[in-house]
Amino acid sequence: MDGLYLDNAATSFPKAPGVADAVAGFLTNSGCNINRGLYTASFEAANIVYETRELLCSLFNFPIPENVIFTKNITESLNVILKGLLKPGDHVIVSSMEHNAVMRPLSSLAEKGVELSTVLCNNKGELRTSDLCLQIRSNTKAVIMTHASNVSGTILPLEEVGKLCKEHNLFFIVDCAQTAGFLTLDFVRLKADALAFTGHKGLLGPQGIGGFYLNDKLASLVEPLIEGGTGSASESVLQPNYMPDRFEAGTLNLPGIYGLNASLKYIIAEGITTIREKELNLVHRFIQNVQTIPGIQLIGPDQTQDRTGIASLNFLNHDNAEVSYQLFKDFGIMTRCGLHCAPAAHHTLGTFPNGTIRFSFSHFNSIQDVDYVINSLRKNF
Amino acid sequence: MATLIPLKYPRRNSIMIYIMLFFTNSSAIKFARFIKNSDYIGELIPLPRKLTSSCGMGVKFHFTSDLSEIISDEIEKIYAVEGNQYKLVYRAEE
Repeated sequence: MDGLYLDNAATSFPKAPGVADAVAGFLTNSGCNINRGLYTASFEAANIVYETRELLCSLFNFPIPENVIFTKNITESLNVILKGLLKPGDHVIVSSMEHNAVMRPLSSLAEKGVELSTVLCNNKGELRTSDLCLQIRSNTKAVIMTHASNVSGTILPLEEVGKLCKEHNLFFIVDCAQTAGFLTLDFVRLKADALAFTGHKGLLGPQGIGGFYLNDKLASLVEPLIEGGTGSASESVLQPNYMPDRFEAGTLNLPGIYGLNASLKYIIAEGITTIREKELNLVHRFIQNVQTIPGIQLIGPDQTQDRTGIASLNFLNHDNAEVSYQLFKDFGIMTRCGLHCAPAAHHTLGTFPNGTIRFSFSHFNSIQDVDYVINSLRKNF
Repeated sequence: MATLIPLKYPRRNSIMIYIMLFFTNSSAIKFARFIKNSDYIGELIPLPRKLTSSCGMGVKFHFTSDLSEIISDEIEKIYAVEGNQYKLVYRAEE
């Protein structure tokens, strides 16, 4: 790719070493389905699929490999969980920093009688769990929350929220789109009941592969959105109720799973802590420097420790979209401008409707990349 | 899930061939992985139609030890293969 790609919060590039080879290798040398015909190649594919469930268990501390479900992305994962769980009359709580992957399914469910409350975060995107307590009602069923904002990078206090959910007997559903592969995520420690992830952002895998994990209780409560062939229990016209078949009708994205398998092995070998430190080092240098340039407002927390590897900027003397366009045309710097599919978050941060320019780094970026962006900004805006 | 019937099998020194049926395909894949990483020979097979009406998969494997060592609640049935006959040697309680 020509230029400097800084849109890793949308989808990461480059992918982990080995991902492209794994996808191409499967398509070139094997290419067969699992759970259907049985031949050596199909067993190898089944083996890789199962191993990928185990790798996800290892990364997220999920207890049961069979309860890892593959989808095409986290948006699908959240739709399956929310639409399969919530019924008219149920009440759910979210933060005001949620992405539309949560807000749109919930808004459509709200039209059908699901009640929705939002906990307002402050203008840096930070949430106080005591504010969440005030929203709990007798019919509250679940809390759905992003682990970190895709706009400001603010990390939400999920361990506290999980504890609170357990105390009030609420299901806790985690959206880790922005933190998987960046923060150490421990499903058990978070006291979560469900966790939705995507493969193509911080997990450094290909697009089109994501998934979710449900504990046993939710696995039986959530109704499948998609039903069909599973290669199992074929004498019955009813969807099997056991995991993962209950939620995995139809042929899986096997090339995607091969790619994710390779990227997970890379991440586990490299170590989340190493990846995080590299990214934070870059974003820290970026933030430190950008704050010395007049006319640029940094959105979100001041401390890099409270952030993911992204920084959103608001240009006080320019149109953000024009700056983003000029950064690409003149300097080859690729950013994401606008509302980032998160209007609720921009309202909270005070950046609606102008939006921001988001610079999202990868641990594959270098200090030189950061300095190049800073110099470009300093000279021109 | 069915409960286990702990069965006592006589220790055999000769190699026996078994076909194991599972409640789910995932369990079959897991067991095939276990066999592959052991000293025993075995593989996933499409289950013979006379053993099940589902189009599921099972594992055919060679084994010399006591079957009770590998019984788990994921196993539905085990057949011993004797020539072209299948003899039921284990079934989970309904």
